[in-house]
Amino acid sequence: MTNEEYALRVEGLRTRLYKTAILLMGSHSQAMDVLDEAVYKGLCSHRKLRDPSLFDTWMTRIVMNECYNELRRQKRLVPIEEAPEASAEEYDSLPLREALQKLPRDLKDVITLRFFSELTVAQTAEVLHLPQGTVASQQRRALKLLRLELGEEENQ
Amino acid sequence: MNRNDEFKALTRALEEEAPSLNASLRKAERRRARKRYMIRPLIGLAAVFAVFVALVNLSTPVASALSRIPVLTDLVRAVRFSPSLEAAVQNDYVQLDGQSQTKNGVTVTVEYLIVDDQQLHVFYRLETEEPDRISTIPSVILEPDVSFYGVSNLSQESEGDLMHAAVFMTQTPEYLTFRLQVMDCDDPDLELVRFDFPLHVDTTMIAPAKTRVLDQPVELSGQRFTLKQLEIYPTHITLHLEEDADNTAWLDQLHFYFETEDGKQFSAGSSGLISQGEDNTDSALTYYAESPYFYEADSFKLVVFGAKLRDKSVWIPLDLETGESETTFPGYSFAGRKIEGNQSVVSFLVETDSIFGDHAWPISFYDKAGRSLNTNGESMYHDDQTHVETYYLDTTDRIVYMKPIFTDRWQPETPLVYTIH
Repeated sequence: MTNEEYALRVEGLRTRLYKTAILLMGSHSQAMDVLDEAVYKGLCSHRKLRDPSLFDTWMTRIVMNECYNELRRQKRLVPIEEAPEASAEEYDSLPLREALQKLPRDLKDVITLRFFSELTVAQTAEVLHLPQGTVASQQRRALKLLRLELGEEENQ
Repeated sequence: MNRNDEFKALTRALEEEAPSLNASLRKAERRRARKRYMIRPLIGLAAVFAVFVALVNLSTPVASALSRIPVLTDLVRAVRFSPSLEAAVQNDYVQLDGQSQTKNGVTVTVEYLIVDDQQLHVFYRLETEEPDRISTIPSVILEPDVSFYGVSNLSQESEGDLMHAAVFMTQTPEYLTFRLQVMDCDDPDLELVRFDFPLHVDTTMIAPAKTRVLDQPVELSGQRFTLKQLEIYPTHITLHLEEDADNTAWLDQLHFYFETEDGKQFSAGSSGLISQGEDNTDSALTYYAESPYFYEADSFKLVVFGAKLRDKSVWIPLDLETGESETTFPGYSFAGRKIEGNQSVVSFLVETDSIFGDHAWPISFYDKAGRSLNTNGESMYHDDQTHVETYYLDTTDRIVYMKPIFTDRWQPETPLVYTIH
């Protein structure tokens, strides 16, 4: 892949990548910082990507890694991870965006990738290094907590 | 609106909000092309850290005295990252400027100011036919002493967008100069053109700070501190601490946030500045945060959920001939020392991931008498995985001493909560 092809592919993914970053980071400015870093790291290493068909998941993985690097750097990950899980009623009373932020990290990752980053179950499993069955069960659990009824058509 | 409608609305909103990544790509290409850039300040800036805070309340209709200004979409977009500034704009806490200058085909227009007693935000627009070939350096000059202040360039550098610079000051003056240097992006040291804008701040429109005296003792990992007071400004909030002289550790960083009675939180720093050290201590005792100045509530909570501290007695000797040290820092390895005149040029190979991670790497070096040896430092690209950090030390001694950033990462079993009225 040439640098020009990389630029075109990244720009083509901008909506998905932005949604991934902003839902994990919580603010536009932090999402943009993360995307700047991810775009740089992608530029430095895209030639190592052997199969261009994996570009979307590869780039999404870089964005996710940068998000968690940044969150770790800011020391925000620990309190988020250790926050007690809210009950279904508590999720129900929150706007969807806030309810998403309250989800345990593993469920938030799955929902973000499946329905905002628009990855398939298989791609989500690949990005998260999880079995597809685990992704599917986490998806069901998260959708139930959020009281969302989403099918495949919502992430097309 | 049911949950599925809410999902569709949220997806649509995020899609509309998603910016082009062309600016990120341009920045990445410049950064890679140069292959040499400063990763982080290497000396003496340990006073500035990253911290996160939250909301506060307060009920003060400050905006009533301020002029009504039509809120423009681009200003709203420019302040969207900051709850404080967003609320300031919503409350018309904005001063108009409108000065414009054109030089060498570049036009700069200063459009708005958001000002309080300690912080100035300048919103300006830059127009040029070759936006890809320039970068900008904003600064502030105070008169008559001609003092330069470091300014955070908060712009995303998207062509045509409103750009944004911010500076902290001891006391915002009535008159100052906003300077914008336009640099050649291929040669960061080459100034193409310089703009100086004399600014007149209407100090009668500056909303006064609100003070809440806390005087609450707090023990962090066995070390005693006092939460002294909060100062709440329109653009930021400041938390002051004091430390006990008998403490055996310095406070490197306090982790805290504010929360209102209804659980609403603001989580942000303030214009890139998170905390600040003092002259006579290694502790960071002043913290900055987003401000809830324009938000209303009866009381709010200060929640302390952790801290990083450094044992005052820990000094790690490093042998500059062999690189041997009692303590190793993951991701950092000694690369060598070269003596140049009276200086040692010391290099370390650093895994790039470690630079952005949470590390205790000390940055500063000392002689056995405790004198700081650093004179300069830089971080250079090496390959995709590593950088080389180079330190210029004012010594030819074989042994120097390091102080890690922190030695203790403390977290209470349950967060410490202080109610503030």
